[in-house]
Amino acid sequence: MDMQELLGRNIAGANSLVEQISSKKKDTLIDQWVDFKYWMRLWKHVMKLSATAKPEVSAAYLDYPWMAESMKGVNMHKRFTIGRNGQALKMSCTVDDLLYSKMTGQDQEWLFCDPEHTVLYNILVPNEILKAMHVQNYMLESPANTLSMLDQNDIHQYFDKVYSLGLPQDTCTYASLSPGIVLSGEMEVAKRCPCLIASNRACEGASASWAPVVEALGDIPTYRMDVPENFSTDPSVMDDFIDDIKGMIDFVHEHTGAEMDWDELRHICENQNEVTRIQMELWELNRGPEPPAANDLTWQPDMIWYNINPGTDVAVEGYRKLLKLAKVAHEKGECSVKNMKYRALLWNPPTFMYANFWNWLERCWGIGICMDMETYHEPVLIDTRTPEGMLHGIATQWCYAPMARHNRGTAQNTINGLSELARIYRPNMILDLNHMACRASVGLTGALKEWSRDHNVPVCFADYDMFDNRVVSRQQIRDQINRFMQDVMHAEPLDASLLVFDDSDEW
Amino acid sequence: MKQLKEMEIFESLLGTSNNELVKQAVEEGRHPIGYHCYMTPLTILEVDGLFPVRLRAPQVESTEDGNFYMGAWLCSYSRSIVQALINGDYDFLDGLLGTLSCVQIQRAMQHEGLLDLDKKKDPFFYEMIDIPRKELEASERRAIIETRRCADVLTDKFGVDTSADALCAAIHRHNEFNALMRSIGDMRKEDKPKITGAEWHTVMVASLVAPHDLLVEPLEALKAALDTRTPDRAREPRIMVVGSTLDDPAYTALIEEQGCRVVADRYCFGSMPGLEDIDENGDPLEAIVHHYITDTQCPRMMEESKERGEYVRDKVAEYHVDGIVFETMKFCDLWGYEVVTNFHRLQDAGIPIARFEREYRLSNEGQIATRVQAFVESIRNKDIL
Repeated sequence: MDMQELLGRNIAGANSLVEQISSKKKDTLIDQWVDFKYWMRLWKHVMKLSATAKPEVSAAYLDYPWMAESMKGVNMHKRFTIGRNGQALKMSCTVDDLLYSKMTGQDQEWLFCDPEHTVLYNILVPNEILKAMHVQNYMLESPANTLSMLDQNDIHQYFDKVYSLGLPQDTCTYASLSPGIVLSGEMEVAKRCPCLIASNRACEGASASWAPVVEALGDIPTYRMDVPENFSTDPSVMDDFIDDIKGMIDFVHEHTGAEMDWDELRHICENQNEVTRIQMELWELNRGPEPPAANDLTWQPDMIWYNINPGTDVAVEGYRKLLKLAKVAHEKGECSVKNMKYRALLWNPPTFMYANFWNWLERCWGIGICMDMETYHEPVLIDTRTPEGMLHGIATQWCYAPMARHNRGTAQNTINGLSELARIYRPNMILDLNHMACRASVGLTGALKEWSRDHNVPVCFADYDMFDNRVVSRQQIRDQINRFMQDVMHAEPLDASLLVFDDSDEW
Repeated sequence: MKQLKEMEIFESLLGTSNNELVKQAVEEGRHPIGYHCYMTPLTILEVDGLFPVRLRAPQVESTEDGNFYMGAWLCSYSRSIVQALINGDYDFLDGLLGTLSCVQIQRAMQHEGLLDLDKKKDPFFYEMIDIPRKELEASERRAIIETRRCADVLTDKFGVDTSADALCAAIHRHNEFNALMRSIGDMRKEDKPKITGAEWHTVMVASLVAPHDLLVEPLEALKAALDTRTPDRAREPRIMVVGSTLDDPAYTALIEEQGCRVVADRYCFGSMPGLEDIDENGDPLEAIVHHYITDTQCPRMMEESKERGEYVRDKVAEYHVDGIVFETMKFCDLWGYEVVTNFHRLQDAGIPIARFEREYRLSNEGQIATRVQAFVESIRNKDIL
């Protein structure tokens, strides 16, 4: 896609968004001020990033369309916060403010300015190890994770690239997006990286997708982590995974000369433990009748501060701020969903191609997702007294990582996980966003239906594709949920104008 | 070529899961244990008192229940297996030994437990082994521990001997059987093979769904008949079929009806790999596990993409293959990515190659026939030119 086409499509998207946002004023002047203030701050961070970007990074914005897409981040924030007020609005703003001010840009600088010393890795690889070895690193799925959230339409060319090479179109679009970017020639700089750490997660589609990537990157030296699947039935398999992590350490050392700094790893693990403690407290608040941090307020911070980039100082800072705001909301009886009528659980990952769909759930139906499958995890605290203890804790956390634990191993990993969440959060309903290409998840569709019947909790199965809106559009997702809410829950929408509307051109 | 009556026994074994040789073995007091994946260390199921049965779904015509439980977007093989389990086609089994291989068949096997189908009999053996996705010493060690555990459970439940001596004997029998199979399969290397690809496919599948010892006599009879068979006069284009699990010889027959001969079979339920010997030296359990982990050509193995391509190229040379038919099961992610990598590697190596997507049961025959016919003609034209 050339820059002119990119601009043309984006102008249509921007216009659509401005129209939507301008019609949604905040409840109070204070909310209006908070909204405005953080909007300006986010633009300030973005401008600062652009202004201080090194020439190589600036050039990348012109060379790689996916880099340019990152400029839409502020508008993604606006889409998340439509109709949001009070402490919930502050929480959203806090997360994005920290994301842009303290977490964005460094990895891109490493990749584009110093690729020869930047190790590539894939999601669900224990990147704490890379951080503790003081190795520059870049998660190769970074574009894939964010692109469709930033703009539902500007990524089709990457899927089409792999499809043109024969990949069946029913393959998971998350797994195929990164190969699509690489095979489109939009990750050429990565060929200069010393090595890649990949794994067998989250699923075999993802695992298999690395073969064309490795080849396209000039047969880059690659370490493949083989995370055991029987971790829930046989805890002793952790020893095998620890051996694999040690292999990863040796491999990184071989290709970069870096050494493990156990003190740094201790610091990272202690941060992770602190985040875990705060999460337990924060999630406990969501058990109450007015959850102060429902929907993306639970999902987003966990995704960026526990899963994708764990153990950082900013994660601790961010979670402490969130907990403080959540406690204020809890004491005031202020629910993060303005007119919450339904407590829900989200099963399966959220709709990346409809990033702000949480917002629609809130405003259209008053649905508050108190907890979701990707976020919830057992409180695994890492023993930081010894290197073996730290490796064991890290291995355990990553075995039980989201999607990984649900897509692999026994069916009970999924079924029991759902039962546990239902016991804790007592939902009125469960929203199962059924990513049609997720074989592991779809393979338990019937089991989930029977669970719903046995536990008397209605489950809404919304079939869609996680990243490609051409398969199921946003409106088609809404249609499925609308039908469920009307026919099964006998619900009346809070705002009937949100039942059907055209956002096909929106970002 | 003249049809061989010696083929009838093999053809009869494929029509139903509980075939006559399985029934005979069960009547003799032996315990059939089902499995689904090439990487299963199935030689532990070949000790006295047990025999392995690879799961197929020959009697399944539609998969309504399979679709309900597994959704409509998983491969039709896995859905058919679930349907077969629900239909009771495998009620004769005394156990299932699964592996955490591809996720789709994993989910299918997990339904045995989810639907309490494993409670129908007592005792019933039902285990799933985690097998590595790369060759790592620690992972293989783990697979050996799990396999040992499964062998002990088999002993416990059925009183069979799974000691080192018993496993050595099983390995020896396994290797002898494979040698007999190879003596037939190697006929495909000849310029004018005396066995068709469909016949070989039938024999190969039959060898996986019936006790080996009860197949020895029919195989020897078949070999004798083949030795005296007059092959076709004309040399036909020699085709290798590569791809997803394929347990229906009707597909091979359909391909051959387009004027070619299938001489090589690189798919699950095929012989490449499938008939290699297990090392008879050293610890037998370790040898069994090592064999099935390292001998595989399954695309689930993360680090061996190029090696799989080289393997196919080697077989192309060994069997004098003129072209490859690359078939992938719809919704198979692993083979889907093989298209992006090895399909193109083989094409770039100058090997004529055609591809089609298929379902588990033979369907879209017209489209497949047209596709293959055009491909075979292109090979013939290439030869003429």
